[in-house]
Amino acid sequence: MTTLLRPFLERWIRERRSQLEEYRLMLRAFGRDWLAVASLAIILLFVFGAVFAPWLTPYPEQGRGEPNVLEKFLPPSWQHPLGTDNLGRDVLARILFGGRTSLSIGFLVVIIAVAIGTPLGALAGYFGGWLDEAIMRLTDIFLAFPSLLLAIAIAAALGPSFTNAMIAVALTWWPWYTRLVRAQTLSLRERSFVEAARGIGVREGTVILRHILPNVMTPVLVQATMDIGSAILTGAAMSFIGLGAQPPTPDWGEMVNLGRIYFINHPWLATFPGLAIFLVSLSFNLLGDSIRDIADPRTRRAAR
Amino acid sequence: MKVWEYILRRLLLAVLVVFGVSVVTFFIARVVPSDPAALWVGPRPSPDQIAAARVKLGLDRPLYIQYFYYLGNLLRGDLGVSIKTHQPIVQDLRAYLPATLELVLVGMAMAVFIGIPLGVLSAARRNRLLDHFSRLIAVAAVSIPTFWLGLLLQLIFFGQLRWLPIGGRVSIETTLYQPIQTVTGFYLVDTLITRNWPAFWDALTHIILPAFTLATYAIGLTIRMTRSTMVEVLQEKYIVAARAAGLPERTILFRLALKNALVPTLTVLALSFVYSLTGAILVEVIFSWPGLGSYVTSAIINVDFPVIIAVTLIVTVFYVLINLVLDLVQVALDPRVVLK
Amino acid sequence: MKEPLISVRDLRVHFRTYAGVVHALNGVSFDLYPGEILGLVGETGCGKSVTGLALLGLVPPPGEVVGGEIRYRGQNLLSLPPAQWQALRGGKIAMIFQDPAAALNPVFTVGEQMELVIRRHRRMGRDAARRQAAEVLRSVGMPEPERILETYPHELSGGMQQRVMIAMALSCGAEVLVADEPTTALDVTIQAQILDLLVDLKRTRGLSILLITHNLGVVAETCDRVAVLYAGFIVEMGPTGAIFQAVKHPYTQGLLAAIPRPSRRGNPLQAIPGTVPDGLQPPPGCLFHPRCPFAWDRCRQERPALLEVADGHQVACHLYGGEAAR
Repeated sequence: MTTLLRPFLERWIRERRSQLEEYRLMLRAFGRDWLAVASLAIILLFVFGAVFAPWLTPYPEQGRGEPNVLEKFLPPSWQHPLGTDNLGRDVLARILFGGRTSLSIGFLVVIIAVAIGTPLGALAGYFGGWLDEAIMRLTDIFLAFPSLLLAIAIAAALGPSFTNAMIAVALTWWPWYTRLVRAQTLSLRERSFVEAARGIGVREGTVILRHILPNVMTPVLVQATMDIGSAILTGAAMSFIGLGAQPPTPDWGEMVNLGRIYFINHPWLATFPGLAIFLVSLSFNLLGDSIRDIADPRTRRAAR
Repeated sequence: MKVWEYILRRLLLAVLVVFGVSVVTFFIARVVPSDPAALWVGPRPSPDQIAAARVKLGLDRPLYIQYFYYLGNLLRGDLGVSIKTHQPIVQDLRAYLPATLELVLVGMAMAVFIGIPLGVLSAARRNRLLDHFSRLIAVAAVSIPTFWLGLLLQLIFFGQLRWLPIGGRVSIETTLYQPIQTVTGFYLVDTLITRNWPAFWDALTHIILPAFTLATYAIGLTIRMTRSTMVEVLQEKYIVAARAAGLPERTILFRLALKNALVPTLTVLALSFVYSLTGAILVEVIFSWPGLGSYVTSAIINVDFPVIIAVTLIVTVFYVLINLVLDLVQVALDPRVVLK
Repeated sequence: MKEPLISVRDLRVHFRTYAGVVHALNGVSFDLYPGEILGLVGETGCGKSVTGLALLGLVPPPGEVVGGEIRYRGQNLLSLPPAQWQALRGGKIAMIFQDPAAALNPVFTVGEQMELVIRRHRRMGRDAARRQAAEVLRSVGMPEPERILETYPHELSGGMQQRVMIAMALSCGAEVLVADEPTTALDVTIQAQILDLLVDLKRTRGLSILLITHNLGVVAETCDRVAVLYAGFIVEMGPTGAIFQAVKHPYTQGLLAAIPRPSRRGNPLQAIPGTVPDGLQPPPGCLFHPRCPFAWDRCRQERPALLEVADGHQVACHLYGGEAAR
């Protein structure tokens, strides 16, 4: 048995090895890009802050939303490095806990959008014909909507909540992945290893799962990284107009909205959560740009 | 392919998309968990009243019949009635749409006059100080939360410097002493036509901050797209040829090269135009701008679905129209487009 | 002999790259006289195009002229203020390129592009510029110039596009035309027409042309004199007849032997062994010695100078002149 499989195994290992070599080169290029490294560090810092929020702040209960009316509107100080809000809650604690909602909406939206968009794109590109036509016209219609507005309409219809905001945004995002994957699949279908697999009678489903999907994942991942930043922005915008996580659940967009009322006299209420959104989304954008350049061998070499 | 054939195809596609959009919006409106009939009647409705409202609103009929009526009304330009105020939505839009359009158009002008020159110069001085600077601006502009930027600008230009007003379209003094005669609904235009200079100045100072806030995203995208296409165009042989013909660098950059780079740039501008129409929702809330955004946010609070759907539909139709115009402009700009 | 129109002396161009400094031109000297066609021949990468671009001050970055002079009517262009050189460019000194389809701006009509150039160099209104453009087009043998002005470049054939380029180059009274491989991208029949046009322009207008090409057939048909460029250095220069009949430099001999000819049917095609030297580390001595079948000790140590061996025929080789001749 092993002897029979041997040539296939060897080829598989060879292919993996060249793939690994490719990844090694990408990693090295990444290490030299200080902007990308800094961006990743900022993102990891915020993720760390969100995950370990209860242990990082002396006021975890305030972070979760419990009011502390004796200490309203305190400006930044040693006790409260970013000040306190209208209910006396520590703004830093709120930002750490708010990262849990704001960051997860970014990741989850992209994950859902990829989960819907990728299979549809692969099906459309692989089978073509009426299925392709139907799926692509559907994406045309969804792309015809300005995404934020459609998300607002859907979220308003479903009722304001964290889950609904996430679903609403994801529903407006999947068509981009469908288009991307379809284009990739179309070109892959013509490649020899796919033709060979079909030629020896491998089932269609297996071809898609084994040969098409693994090969479209790199561009999808690059796109996804670049999209997380905008997803966080959109999520923050949704909760800013009251369609996201509902109080007392902390959320950066909601915190900016709350701080807006007191902004002129107590600017720290809105400034710091807004800065958090800005930093994270900026980092994802910079990281996405770098990853796109690094994933493309042409720009990787030119960047040296 | 002939030019008219191309245009016809784009038109048909646009009609198809608008039809699909109407289906989607109708469907969204019908999955609302809250009962429109109950909202129509008002607080503490009796079951009889609700039943009557249901018949009046046509909610007792099958879904596809309801869609048929909805579509028929749409074609006659009837967008329905607000559940909350019982006002025809078209009438409301006539008041709110010009305010939003004015805001968006001024914002787009800023995107064009800031974004394109920065993108061009950035490409021309590649990897020099100006280039790094404008790339930094570009990425910051697309990463910054619009609503937060609006607040910061208010804090600086109103809170600290007192240079610009905090919000609204005009100040109370103007409404009292220099009332604006509505002609087009665009205050900047109306005050110009009626030579109402103090009001013009007042409207101008009011629009700067919200328009700039709104334009940031578009400025960022425009810089990026202009830069990257210009970098490619500047490596073309015809640029060397233009230099060899002794043409000045300004002409080469802003006339010969830019026209080649304009098609992708315009695509981005058109996209950001529509993005701005929705981004205006956030900006209008912050700057108390009486436009579509304020209209739709109050509709969200009141679960006033016909309004939400009508605004979605209107903005989407704008989107489709802009894309159509863009296709036509492309043909005009680059004679080779039709051939592709 | 007449005064030269253009005279290049010891022109050096370097390209600063991450890998090091590439020596593209290592001291090129030649004269271009009024009403002559000087052929500049050599392999790809020998510095032909850079020489042409340098005459217009358009060496692309990271390249730069690091030494020498380029005189036009006695005036050193390299020390001229940029604005004055720009005025000469496209005015007195013009250039045409290898691929006319790429050298014409695709989104402007022929008329718009020509007008722009004409109005840059001559003070005239729109209509006058348009008439001028039509006139120049007619003078380069374009039928229906008025209609051509309204077309976009992609609507014209390759030969027509190159005629438009030539017309544009001549529209402001050019005295010198740098033609960088003007026929390489064209069909053979069209090639001949364009070359005839260039020869015709030389005769009727007294135009001086620097014809950059790798094709010795083109040189034989059109050029009055030839300069052979190797690794950024002129190795042989002289009247076309002398070069073809009394070839001196081993490199030129190799080039001539590499031309397929009906008379040599049956014999294998000759190729010059080896490759063009690395511009980063040029060999010491004669640049050609690693590939030269006749190289001797001196060739490996000392770079030969360009010396006159016959009337107007110069060669840079230790096999001729100097001690070797004695």
